Amino acid sequence: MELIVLQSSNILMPALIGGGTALLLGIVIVLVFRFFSVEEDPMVEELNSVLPGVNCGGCGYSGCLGYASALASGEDSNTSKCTAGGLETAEAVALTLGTAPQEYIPQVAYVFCQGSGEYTTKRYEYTGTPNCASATGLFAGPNSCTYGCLGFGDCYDVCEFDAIWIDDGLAHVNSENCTACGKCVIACPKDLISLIPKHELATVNSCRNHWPAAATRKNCKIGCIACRLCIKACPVDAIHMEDNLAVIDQEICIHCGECVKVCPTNSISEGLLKGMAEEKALRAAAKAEKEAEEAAAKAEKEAS
Amino acid sequence: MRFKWPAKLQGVHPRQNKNTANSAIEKIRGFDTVSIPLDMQFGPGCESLVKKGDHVEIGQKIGEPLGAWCVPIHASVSGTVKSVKKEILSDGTPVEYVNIDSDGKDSVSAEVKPPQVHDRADFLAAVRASGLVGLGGAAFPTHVKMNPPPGKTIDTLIINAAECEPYITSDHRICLEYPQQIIKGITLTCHYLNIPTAVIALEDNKRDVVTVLQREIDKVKGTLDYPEQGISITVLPTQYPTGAEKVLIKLVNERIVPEGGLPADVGVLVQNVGTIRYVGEYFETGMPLVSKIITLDGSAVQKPGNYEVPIGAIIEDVVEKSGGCRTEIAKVIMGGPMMGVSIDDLSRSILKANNAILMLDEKDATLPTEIACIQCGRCTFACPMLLMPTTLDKAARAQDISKLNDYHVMNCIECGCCTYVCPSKRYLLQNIRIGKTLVKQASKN
Repeated sequence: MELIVLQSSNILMPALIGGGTALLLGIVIVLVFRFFSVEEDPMVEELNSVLPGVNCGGCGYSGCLGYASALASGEDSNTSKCTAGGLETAEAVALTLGTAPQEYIPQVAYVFCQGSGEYTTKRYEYTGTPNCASATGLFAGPNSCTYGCLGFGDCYDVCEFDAIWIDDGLAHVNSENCTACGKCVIACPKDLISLIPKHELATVNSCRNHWPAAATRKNCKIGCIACRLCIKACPVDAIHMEDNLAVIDQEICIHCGECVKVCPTNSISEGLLKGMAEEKALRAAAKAEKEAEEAAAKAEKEAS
Repeated sequence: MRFKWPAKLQGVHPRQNKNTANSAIEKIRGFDTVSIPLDMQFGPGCESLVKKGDHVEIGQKIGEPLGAWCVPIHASVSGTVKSVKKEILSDGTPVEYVNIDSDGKDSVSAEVKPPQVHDRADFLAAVRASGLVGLGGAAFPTHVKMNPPPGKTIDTLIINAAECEPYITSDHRICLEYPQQIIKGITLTCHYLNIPTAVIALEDNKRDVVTVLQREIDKVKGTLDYPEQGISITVLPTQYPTGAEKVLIKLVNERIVPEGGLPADVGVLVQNVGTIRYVGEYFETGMPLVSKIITLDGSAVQKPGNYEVPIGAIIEDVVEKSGGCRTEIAKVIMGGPMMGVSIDDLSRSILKANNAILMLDEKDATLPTEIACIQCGRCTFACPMLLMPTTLDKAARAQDISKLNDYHVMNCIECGCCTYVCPSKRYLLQNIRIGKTLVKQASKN
């Protein structure tokens, strides 16, 4: 019996000391929390939970929390800056803030080049570091068109939404996955990617080359040769020339498709890309159709 | 003559391959056509003064400078302007090229006459009018270099004849064949810029130059122009990259150029031996910079040697006139194998800053494949600027700008020692270069 009492008194002191210290520190913590607490706007937390949380930086802030606190503090009043979330997020943000939703114009990244290996050649064999930034430093890259896409995939590396794929030396944007965060726009050393309004029939001159027509013909089979036919065909004057390159003003364009019909090199394209598999199937179908047409024409010619 | 052998040597020892050290400079003339780019220097380029169909003569100004940093460009053959059209330079920027069809007469323009110089301003204006840029490879305008920002005095002129790049021997031949012009260039520069000391620095593998230059120095000793504290010759160890400006200053003067600073910050002016020789020649003849002495070498060249060719001559023609190719060319490098730029097309022109054309065959041109870093640290020991290439490489791959700054990426002189010694054949310099571009972009924004 005596032994047990001794033992319990042995454990009592340490337990008391430990428990007492814990209690004391707990009181200190409560006091500090009471008197030194920082007033936090509950709105920030609420807004942050509404935002998608991918921290892509498409809004121009460091991340979702940055945008949320800017909105909550009234520093920024635009509720439709989240490109990754789109219309739904814009509406949810406006609802949380209790303001009227602003007009949301969805955008999409677009590669202003169609010069894949099918249409361009290589001037030299590049054996250096396989990225566009390095290759650009050596005679503007191995591509025959010095303005064209090199296809080493600097844009692919920065895309967090699996929206870019590289095929045959050319980058493509999957318009369904793209959130217009703009990372690829910065990453491209050739300045070939821009954000355009997301319209199903977006009509774009997919070329950024400023060489005169003769040089363009030599360099790329699908480049803009500055023939001005599209300017003449455009019913709303949305197209103008910039240093040997036709530029379509996306805000004026009415997507009538007249310029697409007259473009002799198919430099002007219509519609956004969806996905790699779909695109490949579409292209194969178009090729088969073209071949069938040619075969039919040939047969007709032979018959006559 | 004195020897400078530092206790600890940073750098590498690539195989020297100075096969052409004994081939005298040969003049190649009679080019049918030349193509002169209107931007051959560090900084902005020129505006064309001629148009299609104009007749030009050697030494006639064809490019008007577009700024205080820019120097004029002169016709290097006489003949008719065939066209003025845009093409790209090695860094990818489009620039106008003046293509001239030679008439074969090589008639010299009436504009060419020796300049009359009285003071410092006259001298700098004359140097600018000659179209002179640094001929060692960087093409930095010489008149800007000779005119340091106010408040900085220069006490030493270092003549860089180190020529540490493998294969190249053009500076070596210049020292042997034009010692008188070199010394004249030095005395003129020292006289007008008020520099008391001149040092000619060269590598141990060019000892034969020392006696030749010493003889010329002795001839001018005691004349009015002779620098106060004399012209001396310093022999440095044969090691790459002793010829790099900052490394050279450290070896010769034991002064360290601060990060982002210029040699003028430590009171030094460094001129390539070819540049200073040209100063001597220009004040004798008045002929603007229209030709360039280059080394043509490499495993694919039939007859390696040193040649004087007009600026703007097409590389293909130069090779053909020198004796053609031995085997099929796999790679052509403008400059030395360590720091040169490979070119995409044999129809490129000889530029002011070219000092060598290397033509390599398939065997020499094949690049080894990159494998994983084994953390051996050889690159850190080799770096002449005492940087840590592996760390910089990792930071550049991760695009970590603050880390790149912390490890002083801007101090990198792009000599390529790290990539040369790497047993894993990592693309170190290539990535560090991207890192430097990133830092420059970030500081701009």
